[in-house]
Amino acid sequence: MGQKINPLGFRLGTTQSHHSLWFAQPKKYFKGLQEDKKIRDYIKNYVQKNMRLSSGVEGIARIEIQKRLNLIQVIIYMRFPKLLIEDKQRKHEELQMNVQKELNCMNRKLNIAITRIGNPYGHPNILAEFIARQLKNRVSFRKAMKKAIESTEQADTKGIQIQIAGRIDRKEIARVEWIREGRVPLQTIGAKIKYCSYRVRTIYEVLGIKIWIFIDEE
Amino acid sequence: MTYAPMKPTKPGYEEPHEQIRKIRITLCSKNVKNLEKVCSDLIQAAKAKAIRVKGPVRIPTKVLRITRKAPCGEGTNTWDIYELRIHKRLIDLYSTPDVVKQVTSITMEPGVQVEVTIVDV
Repeated sequence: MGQKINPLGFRLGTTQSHHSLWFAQPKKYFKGLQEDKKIRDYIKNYVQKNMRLSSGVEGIARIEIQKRLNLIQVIIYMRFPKLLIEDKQRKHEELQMNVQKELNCMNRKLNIAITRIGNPYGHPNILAEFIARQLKNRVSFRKAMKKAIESTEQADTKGIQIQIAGRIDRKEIARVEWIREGRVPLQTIGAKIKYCSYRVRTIYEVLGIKIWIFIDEE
Repeated sequence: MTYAPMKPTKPGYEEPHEQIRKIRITLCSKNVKNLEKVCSDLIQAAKAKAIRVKGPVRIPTKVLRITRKAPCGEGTNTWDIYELRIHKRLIDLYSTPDVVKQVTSITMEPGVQVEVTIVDV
């Protein structure tokens, strides 16, 4: 049986663009990578901590990092930027200061921009977090998947596939369950497919959620 | 006196910041589109200021390859090859460093590394 390649990596040259745009000579490449990882982790943790207070799904779709000579530009695509905009000034600065401390580089300016996404449920990351919350609240997995698919149908998508793997329903034997709606042509490179794999840690089990969303064909 | 007093200068003395130097700009990048755009922007800006430019010299691209055994399939012919292409361009300008700083500050694209070295002519 063949195995499936990550659709993001498969399409990098054509339909998909990189999330990190920078160049470094091979000797210094690892430093750039480490910085990227630190930035992303820190932003996710920060958002998680602060979002718990308010309603719900965190909703970071993606974090783009662009590095130029003396400027690091971070663009966060979020679903609810207004929750950060409440105390916008303070939180924005806090984020910036803390990320700069993490990176230990005050000589490069750091610029964090937050953008709102049009279609939140057209983004697999946000959907995955939505399903994860429901699974943590012990909703039956099939209901959770169907709810997610319903909310995607309102958005502009041509197909969606959701897969949950692990000890579903806290059974002893782990299994894999998946649902598909519409078409998801994974072999077509010209098809714009967004993919996310998300890990849910509940008290009883660890579940892996994978979501493929087919948006458009070129 | 009708004439303004002359600055005392030694014969043959040029003020250092007026001296024309050869300035080499090295541009490196992973993707060609951005790189070519930055190149052409730089050259246009330089020509607009009437600086002598030596056009973009395209240095052969370096292809860094990593080969690994693919996770699926058996046998010798199941490999994954990942490559990273480094494109490099050189632009030589003959002018004063101040003007060059103006020119280079205009063009900024993510993913293109710019290095400037100044060589005394």
